[in-house]
Amino acid sequence: MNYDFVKDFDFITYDDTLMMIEVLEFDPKVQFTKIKTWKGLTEYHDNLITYFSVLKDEQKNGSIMNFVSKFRFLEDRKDYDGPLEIRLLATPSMIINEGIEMKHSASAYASQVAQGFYLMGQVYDKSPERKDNEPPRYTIGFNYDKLSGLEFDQVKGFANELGGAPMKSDRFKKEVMNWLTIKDVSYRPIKDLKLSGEDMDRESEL
Amino acid sequence: MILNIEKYASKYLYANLDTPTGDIYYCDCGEIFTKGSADEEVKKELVDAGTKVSEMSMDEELAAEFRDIYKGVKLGFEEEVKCPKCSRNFQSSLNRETLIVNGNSFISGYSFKETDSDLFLYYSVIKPDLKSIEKVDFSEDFKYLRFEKETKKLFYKDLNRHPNLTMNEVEFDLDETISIVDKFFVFETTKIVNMFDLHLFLGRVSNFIIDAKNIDIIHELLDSLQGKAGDSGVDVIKKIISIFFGIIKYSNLSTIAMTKSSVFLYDLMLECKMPKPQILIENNITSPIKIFNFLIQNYVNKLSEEVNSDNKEVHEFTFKSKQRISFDDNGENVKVEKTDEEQTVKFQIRDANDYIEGKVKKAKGQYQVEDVVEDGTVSKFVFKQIRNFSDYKKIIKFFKLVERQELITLLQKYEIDFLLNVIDLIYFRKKLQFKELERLLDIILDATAVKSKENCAFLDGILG
Repeated sequence: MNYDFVKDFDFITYDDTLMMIEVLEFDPKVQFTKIKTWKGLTEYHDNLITYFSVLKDEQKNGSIMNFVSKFRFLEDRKDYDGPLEIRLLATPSMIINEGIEMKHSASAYASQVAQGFYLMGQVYDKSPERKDNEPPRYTIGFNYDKLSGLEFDQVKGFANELGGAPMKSDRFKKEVMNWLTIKDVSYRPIKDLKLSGEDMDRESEL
Repeated sequence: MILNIEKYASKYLYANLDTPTGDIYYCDCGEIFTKGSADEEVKKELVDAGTKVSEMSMDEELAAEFRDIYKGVKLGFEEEVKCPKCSRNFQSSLNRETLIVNGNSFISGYSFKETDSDLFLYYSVIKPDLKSIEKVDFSEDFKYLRFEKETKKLFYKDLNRHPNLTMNEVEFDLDETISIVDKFFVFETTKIVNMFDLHLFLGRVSNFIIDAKNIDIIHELLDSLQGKAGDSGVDVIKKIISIFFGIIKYSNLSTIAMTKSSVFLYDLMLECKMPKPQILIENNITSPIKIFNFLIQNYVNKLSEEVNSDNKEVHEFTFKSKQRISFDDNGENVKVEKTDEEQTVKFQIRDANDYIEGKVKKAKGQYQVEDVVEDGTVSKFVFKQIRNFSDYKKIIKFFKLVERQELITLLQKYEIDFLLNVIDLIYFRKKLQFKELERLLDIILDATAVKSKENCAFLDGILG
C-alpha cells in the first residue's frame, strides 16, 4: 500500500456526514459508528443527502442559523469603522464550503456550530496598508458557552498559512485585536494573536 | 607544514600586488616577473578602499573577497600581464581564476597523524605568503581534533584566524561533542584535499570503540559514501566521528547504536541536549530505553516551553469582555449586565525563531498536550517500533489524541508508516474518543488502500 495517499483523504465526506446527522437528529450509534470502510462511509453519506435534500431550508439550517443569529452584531459596522469586514458562516453549506475554499479543516467544526459551541466567520482585510503578500481574507473561529460568552479561538488564512501560503502580519493581528475589543469579545495573547515582532509569522493550523 | 600541498600548489599562479617595486607575478613555469602599477590615481583609490575594508571589519572572508575583486580590477587596468618566459597570459579568464593573491586562502585539507600517545585529525588552511621574490612560500593555519589514547580524552584546537589571536587547545566532553565536531567540519576553502585521511582517522578511532564491530556503521553510513561527489561525504564522516566520540565519552551509548542504529544514535545526540557523562552515570542510565527516555526529556522540555506559549491556562486575557452574567441558586442564567471597568490592552511580542513544527493546538476542553510535554517518555514496545528520531518526533504527537496504552494499541494494530503519515492529517482536528479514532483510522486506511489500488490499475494485465 502506498501511504503517501493518506494525505489525500477527503475529510469533507466525514465532516459533512457528521453535520447532517446533527441536523437530522439521527442517532450515530445506529449506523454511522459501525462504518469502517471508505465505501461504507460514502454510501451512508449519499443516503443522508437524500434525506437532507427533502428538508426545507429552514429545517436544514435552522439550528445553525438560530445560533448564529445571536451574534449578528459582530457583522454590524455601526460601532466599528476599521478595515475588517466580517461575514458569519450561518449555514452548514457555508461552513463546509469555507473549508474547501480555504483548504483548511473548517468543516470539522460544522457539528460544533450546529450544537451551539462554536461560531465561525469570514474576515475580509480591506486595509489600504495590506501588502501584496498578505492574504485578503481569513476564517475566524470563536468558542462559545453560556457562562463566559464568546471567546476568540483562531483566525486562519488560506491553507492554514502553511506550505508557502501567505501569512498574517502583526498589523492584521492588531486590527483583529482592536475589532475584538470594540465588539467586546474576550481574547488572550496566544496562538494567532501572538505578535511576532516581525512582518510575518507562521502559526498553527485550523 | 602539516598538509602536503606540493602536487596542488604548482597548478596555481600567484601575485603580490602593490609592492614598492610594483605588482609581482609568480608563474607556474617558475618565472617571477614584475609589472608596473596601474594608473596612480586609480591605484590610490583602490588602496584606500582596501584599507577601509580592513579597518571596518576583521572578517577574513570579506577581506579575501575584496582582494579578489581588487585583483580583477588591477588585471583589467594593466595593458598586458604575460609571463616573459612561457607567455602565459595572466589576464585570460581561465588564468585569472587560478591566480591567487598574496594572503588569500585557496586550498585546505585533512591530515591524520598518530603519535605514541595521540591520534590527531588536522584541517589545514593554506595561503600564499609572498615575501620572497625568488620563490613562492605558503603559510598554514590549522584546527585539529585530538584523541588521547590512554586517557580517552578529547581535545579541540580552533583556527587562529587572526595573526594576533592564538587559539589554545581545549578539552571537550559528551555535552560538547556535536557542536565541536560541527565546528571542526566548517570548510574554509572550496578546494579541499586529502579526504582519505578522514577515513584513516576513523579507522584508527574505531579501534578504541567498545562494540565497534557490532555497530552496523559500514552498511548504514559508509555505503552511502560510494559515488558521492561534492563534499565527498564529509557529512557522513562527521556523523560517524560524532557517534564514535559520543561512545568514547559514554560507552553505554553504543547500546543505542546496536539495538536501533547508528543514525538513530546520531539523531538523538543532535536533537537532545547531551549532558556530561557524570550525570548519566549518577542516574544509572545504562540501558537503551533508559538512555533514550532520559535524553529526550531535554527535547520534550523544549517542546513544552513552546506549547505553553499557546496554553490558554497559563495566559491571562489581553481583553476580557465587560459582559457579566449573574446566576440564581440553581445556576441558571438570570441577568446579563455590562460593567464599566477599564480594560487595558497590552500587546505581547514574541520571538518566532523557536517555532517547533507540529506544536499543539488548543481545542475547547481538549487540551491534552500538557501531559505529553510533562512526560514524553516511551515504553519498550514503542521504543522498539520507532526506527529513527524523526519517527519519535511524530509518534509523540499522538499523545495529544490518545493515552500511552492507546498508542501501543495503535502501534500493534497499524503499520508505523501509516501512523506516521496519518498523524499530520488528524493532529489539528478535535480529539475523538479512542474507539471513534480507531474507526476513523480504519476508514482512512481503507480509503488509502482504494486509492493505492486505483493508481496501480494500469499494471493490471502487465503483471500477470
